[in-house]
Amino acid sequence: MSAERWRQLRALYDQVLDAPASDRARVLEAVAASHPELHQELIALIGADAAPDSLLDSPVARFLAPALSPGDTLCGRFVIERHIGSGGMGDVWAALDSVRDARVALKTIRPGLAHDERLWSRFKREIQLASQVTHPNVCRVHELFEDQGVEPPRLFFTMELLDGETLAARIQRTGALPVSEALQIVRDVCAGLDAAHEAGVIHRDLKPANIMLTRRGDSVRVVITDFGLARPDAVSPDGGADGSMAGMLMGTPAYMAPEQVRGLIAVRATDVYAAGLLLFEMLRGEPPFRGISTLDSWMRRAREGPEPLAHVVPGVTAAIDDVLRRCLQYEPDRRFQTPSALVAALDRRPLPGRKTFAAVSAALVLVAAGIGWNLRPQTLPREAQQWYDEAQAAVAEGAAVRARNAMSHVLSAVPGFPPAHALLAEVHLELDMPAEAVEDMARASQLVADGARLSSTDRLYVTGMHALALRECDAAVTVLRTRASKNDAARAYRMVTAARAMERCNRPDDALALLAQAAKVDARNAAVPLRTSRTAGRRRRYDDAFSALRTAETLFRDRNNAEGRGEVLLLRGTLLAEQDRLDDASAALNAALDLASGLMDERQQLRVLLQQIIVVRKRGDLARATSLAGEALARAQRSEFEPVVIDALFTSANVELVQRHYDKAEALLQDALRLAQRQRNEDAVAGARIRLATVFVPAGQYAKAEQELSAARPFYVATRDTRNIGKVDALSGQLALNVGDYPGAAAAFQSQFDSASKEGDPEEAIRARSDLASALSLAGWYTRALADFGAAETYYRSTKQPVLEAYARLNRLDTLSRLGRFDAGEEFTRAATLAPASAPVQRYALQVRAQDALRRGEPMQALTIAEEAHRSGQTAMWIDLAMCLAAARLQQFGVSRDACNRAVAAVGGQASSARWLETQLIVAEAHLWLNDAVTTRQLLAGASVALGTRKESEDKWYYAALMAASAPRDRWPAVGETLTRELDQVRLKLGAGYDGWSQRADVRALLNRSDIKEKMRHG
Amino acid sequence: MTSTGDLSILLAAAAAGDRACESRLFNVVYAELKRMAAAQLRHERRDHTLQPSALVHEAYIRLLGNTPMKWANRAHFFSTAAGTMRRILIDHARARRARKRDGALKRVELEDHLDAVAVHDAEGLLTIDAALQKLAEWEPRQARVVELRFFGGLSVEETADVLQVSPKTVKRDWSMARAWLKTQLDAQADVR
Repeated sequence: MSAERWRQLRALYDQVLDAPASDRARVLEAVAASHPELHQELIALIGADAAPDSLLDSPVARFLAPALSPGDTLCGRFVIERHIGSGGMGDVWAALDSVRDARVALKTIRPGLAHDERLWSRFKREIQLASQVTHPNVCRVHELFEDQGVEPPRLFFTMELLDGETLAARIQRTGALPVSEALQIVRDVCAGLDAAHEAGVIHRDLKPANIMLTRRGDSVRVVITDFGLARPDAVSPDGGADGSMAGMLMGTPAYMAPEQVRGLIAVRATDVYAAGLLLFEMLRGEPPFRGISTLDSWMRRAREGPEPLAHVVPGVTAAIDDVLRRCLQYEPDRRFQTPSALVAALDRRPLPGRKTFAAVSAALVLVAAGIGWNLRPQTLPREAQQWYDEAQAAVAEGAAVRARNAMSHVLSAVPGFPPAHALLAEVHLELDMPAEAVEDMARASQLVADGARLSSTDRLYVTGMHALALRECDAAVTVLRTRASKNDAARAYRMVTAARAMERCNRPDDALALLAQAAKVDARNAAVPLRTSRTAGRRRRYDDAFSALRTAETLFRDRNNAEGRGEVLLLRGTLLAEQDRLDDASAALNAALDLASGLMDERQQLRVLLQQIIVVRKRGDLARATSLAGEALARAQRSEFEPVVIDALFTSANVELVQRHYDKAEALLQDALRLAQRQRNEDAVAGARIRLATVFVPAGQYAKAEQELSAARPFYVATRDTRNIGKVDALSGQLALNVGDYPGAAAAFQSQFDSASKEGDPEEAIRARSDLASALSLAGWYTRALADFGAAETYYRSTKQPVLEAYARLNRLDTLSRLGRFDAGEEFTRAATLAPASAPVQRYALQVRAQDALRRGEPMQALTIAEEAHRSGQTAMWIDLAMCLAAARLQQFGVSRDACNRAVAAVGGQASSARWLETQLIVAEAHLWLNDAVTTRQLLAGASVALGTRKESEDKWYYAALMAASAPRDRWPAVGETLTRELDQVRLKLGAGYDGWSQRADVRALLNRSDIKEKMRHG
Repeated sequence: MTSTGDLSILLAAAAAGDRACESRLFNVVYAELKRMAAAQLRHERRDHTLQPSALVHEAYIRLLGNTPMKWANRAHFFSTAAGTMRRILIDHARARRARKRDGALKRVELEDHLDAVAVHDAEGLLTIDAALQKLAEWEPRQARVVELRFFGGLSVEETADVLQVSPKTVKRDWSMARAWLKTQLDAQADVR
């Protein structure tokens, strides 16, 4: 470094920091290209910038806090003996624990660390977890102490006292280690890592400086130190004190795994990566991926594997190179998932059961080495088979994470077994990761193409999964349904797989039938009723679903399978929530959460949490739902499960939508869309689009809604997903209604109805029919609408849904009213009594009654009803409009004019909405009765354009009549002809009902206004 | 003990460039800061909440009270004090390292400097000191910013005031220097 270089570096540094945060990564890359020799320094600077804890942040006087000297006593218990060293965190001392009468290492903690609340609480937790790890290869951590005897109080923790040298020092001293020694060290390190992982601690900072080689007599004990304690997580959540870069890497890049550098969370496989680096460095004498510059070495990491050592370092075999390559895979998922898998691969042993070790047989070696396949179909060695069975059971039970872990054991033991890859694909489908499933199957196919021999059962399975991953549904189902000739349990699992394939191909009824058969094949298989309940729930056959859940629960309980029970509870809670049985739902979900927390299953906890948010939202506690959604999202983003992030985004968006925060909802959904596109998860992409449409429609952004819907529909058509096709149609219909395209709306609802019928979903079908009826009614097809409303009413009565029945009935009666068939007079009141507790129903009933009164030519009654509603504190458009028109008919000028003005003010300027048009026309009519034809004409002029865009509307005749009634003589006979034409249209639509309609008091009054008849006579 | 009045004259002279006064000033400040530090350690100030960043400010008040003076002299004081603080700490850090290397307590000539003052993180401080010396060769102003902020405990504004540059410049200087020093510290820690 020279002055010149420093100046250059400074200039670049300023450039990066001056760029807006979103641009910084790009600027950094540009710098890397233009000044590669400074790039490494610059990266280190930016990274160090973000570090919250540094010597330099501590006020300097803190350094003068009384240092420890030999002989000092802390907490009245620890007697300092000598100074050992200074660490990143503080000083290390050897001390005598007078209580336990043993020597310990005592590590003081630099005050700066304790200042940061977040870091400190994480630190305490790490100590707590680390202190639970008892393993010879892990440095024992004892306890955290605070010595109050000084000012400021001194913080320190005690740990095992180690005597020896670090691996770093050893490599520096002697260069590369002998192969056998290196292997042994890595085995010990992995054993220690495993123990720590069991306790829930990931090291995150494994490097030669953190490995101690201590001498114990003749032997060497390998000890891992500094578990995740010195370094906070790889990502600093906010920038450094000066607002510098957020989310950048911290610490030495050389020993970090790619995901740490990229700012993702560390997982077990992160430690595996570090172990790989360790092994390489021990064998080679220096770390891998040495490049000319940092940038170069990063490119190597991403593109290439480590340099093969087999012909470079004596004693290193190809197998060791394989292991290194696997450890140092860029994607964590491709590495050994656990340190013990690494060791097993090194030793080429089948993975033992938890505590025992198996002998290696010749056959196993052959299988693992890929020799001898041509002789017999490949089977699994016994231990691997156990893991395979475990994985299969877990997949069927929906415990996807457990399945994935089990699969990693299988694959590390026998990487070349195609059915294992197929099972992994099934796991990935369960985890909503379809792109990964396709890759798994690609691997499996490649293996088969390369000559792997499979038994016929296995071949069917692989072929079936291949088809399923590619969504070739019919092929998948046909293949998977073929009987497997193994034992009952295996047959039952295969049937569950086939049923899941059917479901994925949108054939739920077939799935249920198959599951019923499966239950007979193996009555003890808990996966069958679990799957059944899910499928039945999807079809809203709640009774069947709950009964299946009870069966599943009993079976899981008998087997002591906590994960299964958790899944049952989650499913139960979900179904109860669907039925609006919110208290019961909460109870089930809370129990599910307890189980999931106990199992430390983050993914499951998140799934439960998302469901709980739905319940909270349904209860109406929107503030709480919003905050829970935010938490869930943050947690999901920290987790490793990207599909869960999408679900969390969907849930958050829904909560915002309910509160009409359209912008927020849209932003969340756009994030979800991008994420889904990145994951190449087409289901999620389509799901995001539909949800965006549900936001755009009420927000009035019709064009955008249209766009999303047209983008989503083809996918569902291609996957024959009638349920979602129906959803798209329902939204299209809503959209069309809002823009006044009534025929379009009717078509969409009809299509929705068809889908729902095909899907066998009567609830959905009836909903479609109701909406269809509304569209028809708005278009003036009252007679047709009548039939559909009636059907809805009958359905809701039979399914005991009084509120919906009430609405349907009121709609039907309203339609009768429009047809001028008033023989259903008092029925309005009776309809309302169907659901007395529902205020919306009561309000709607009043509205319908008032409008009916107007039609019957009883404006007094209408006015009374409207005033009653008004007095009881309701505010709704219809009240003002009813008062406006009724009062006009009664020649109550003042009342009428006020009400009319209120209505006009309330509806605002949204000329495209149906409400606006309705308001204009009614107020126009009112002014007609008030003998203010001028205003009438004005209002009509405003309405004409809007009406022109409506394709078929019940209001066309209305407009024409009003025009005719208010038009000056010179507009005749044109307006008269228009009116005649429109009346003909009505006659067309109503058929025999036309007479009844034309005898309607309000229609007659309008048409009979002497002006009109006169004009027509003279026309 | 130099009186406040004498000291402010001393300070003015030192600020004006008088070498002899400069070194006398240094000794006075040095003695005072050390005394304060030692007193702190002997718990004489238990009842006061520790204001760690204020050692230099405290020294200022103790030595110069409320004597009105030109900013140039005040600035000079703080510069000196920061440099003094650095000396104190580095001296102690060196002594510590020497003791460690020798393995046993050597109560030799070093003792008279030490009183009961000792330092945490001796290695770290020495690394910072060495790095700062290098930095001073490349960009002297930046090194001074570090000295004033870290060793002197001055705020961004105060530092800007002493050096007569904008606070933004100070922030940038500090942020980059701090980052660089941290990389130096990390490199040192790795070789442990």
